Order: sequence, then structure tokens, then C-alpha cells
Amino acid sequence: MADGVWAYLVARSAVDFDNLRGVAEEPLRRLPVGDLVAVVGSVPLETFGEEGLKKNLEDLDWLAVTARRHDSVIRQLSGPVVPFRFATVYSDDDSARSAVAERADEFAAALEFVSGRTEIGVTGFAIRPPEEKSPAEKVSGRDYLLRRKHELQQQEWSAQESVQSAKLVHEQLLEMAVAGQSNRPHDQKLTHGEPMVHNGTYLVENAQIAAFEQRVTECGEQFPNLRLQVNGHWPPYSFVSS
Amino acid sequence: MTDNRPVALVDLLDRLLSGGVVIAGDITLTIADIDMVTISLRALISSTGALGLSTGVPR
Repeated sequence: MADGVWAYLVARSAVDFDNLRGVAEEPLRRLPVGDLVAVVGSVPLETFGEEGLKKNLEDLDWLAVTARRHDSVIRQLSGPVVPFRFATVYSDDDSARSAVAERADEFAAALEFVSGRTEIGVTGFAIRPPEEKSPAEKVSGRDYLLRRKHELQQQEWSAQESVQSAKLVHEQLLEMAVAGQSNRPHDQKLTHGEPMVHNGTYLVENAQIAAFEQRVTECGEQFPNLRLQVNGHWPPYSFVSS
Repeated sequence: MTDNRPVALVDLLDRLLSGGVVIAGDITLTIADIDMVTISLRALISSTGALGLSTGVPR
């Protein structure tokens, strides 16, 4: 089967890269479009075409390797980049080039917007109150059940309080950021059972990164019912779609 | 990127599958209609037990 063109990102034409390999371990290529350049690679359509993708996106091993490779390309270029949505594939270079050319102004504006800024993810988990210790003396079954019910109510209440705290944390972090959003928390199955109550991501001036992370630490101290975590520095995935 | 913390796969997919510039490629024009997030999350959730997802160990 033929090859397709996997699109990684758009950058300013000065962007430089050597020996980078893409999702199919293919060498990367530049497609100049005016002052911009699209970074692409040729990938086999058997794997990366419509049918192949439908199947492969459900294969976690494949998805993990491919997602890491895609991310790695985007992270290794220095300077501002505007990533494409994962799995954007064109039939040939001309189609890819004209897709970028049609929206060249938007790409240029997006590059300007993310220039000198970093996306930082901050997640928050509700901290459950410690289990009350069972008293040494024997308790009746009825007392035990009442106490257990009370404990469960406490836990539920605590999770709701943590959700409220997370909203306040989000407001504080927005003050430190150029932009930010609160995404849907991950399913508990993906967090080893820890209830996630905040899945935020923020675009921060590079000069403000240390201050921003300091604020995250302070928020953690201010809200003991939350465990806050910086989940990484990211290319501006969440701040380029118009 | 100056940060070397390994990123967890779930946080990466969260961004890759719902972020980035959306211009449908001509090959993936119809893929855009598929909810990639849903099918990939299905893959994630059904395989969670076998993976150290939040350890972020590159695979």
C-alpha cells in the first residue's frame, strides 16, 4: 500500500532539526509554506491510513509507542511550535502544504501566542480522611454499623470539599498563567483508585514557571484536602486550537 | 522543553487526542468523525491493570 503524510507540527521556517525520526521511525521532512514550515513524515497507509488507525488506536501498546514518538518529535524542536492533532494524515505533500497555506495567518498567530510560553499540567486528588481507629473495647454490631455509616459520610463530604478547594486552586493558578483550562478528571480506574478532582492545564510565561510552581506548592499547603501534582511541562497542545 | 520529568501516558493521551490544531487531513477526513478519545480510553481502561500508567515509564 502507498504512503501517507503524517503531520506533526508547524513552526517558523528557521526551525532546525537533525536526524529526528517519526511515528513510523521515518525520517522527518520540512514542507516550507511562506515563513512557516510544516514538519511531516511519510508513513505506510496500511498502518496509518483510516482502516489501520481505527484498529490500531484500540491497541494500547501501539498507541503508547506511537503517542510517545509523536510527542518526542514535537518536544525536540526548539522554539515555538504549533502541534497538529494526533493522527492528522494527508495523501501527499501538496495536500499537507495547501492545508497549512489556507490557514497560514492562524498558524502565525498561534505561533506568536505560544512563543516563550510553556504548558504546565496540574492535577489534584481528594485526600481521604484517615480511618478512625477502632476502640479496643467490644462494640455491638449496631454501633459498628452506625460508625461505619458515619465514616462513609465523612469521606463523601471530604471529596465534595476537595472539589470546592480545586475550584479555588484553579482560580489562583489562572492568575499566574496566560491562559488555563480545567479538563475532565481522569476515570478512577486510571488513577490507581485515587479520586481526581482537578485536571488543569495552564499556559505560563517561561520566566514565570518557577513562580507558578511555587504557587502550586503553596496551594497544596493552603488546601490540606488536596494532593496537587505538576504532571509535566508540555508543548502547547491545549492552547493552539481556535 | 526544559523539564525532564517522565510524563504519564494517560496525561499524554489526554492532550494528544483532544489538543493540537484540527485540520482534517484528506486521509483522516473520516477518522475525524470517530471519537478517538473514546476508543483510545476504552483501550486504556481495559488494559490498566497490566500497565504502570502513572509511573510514566517510557515504553
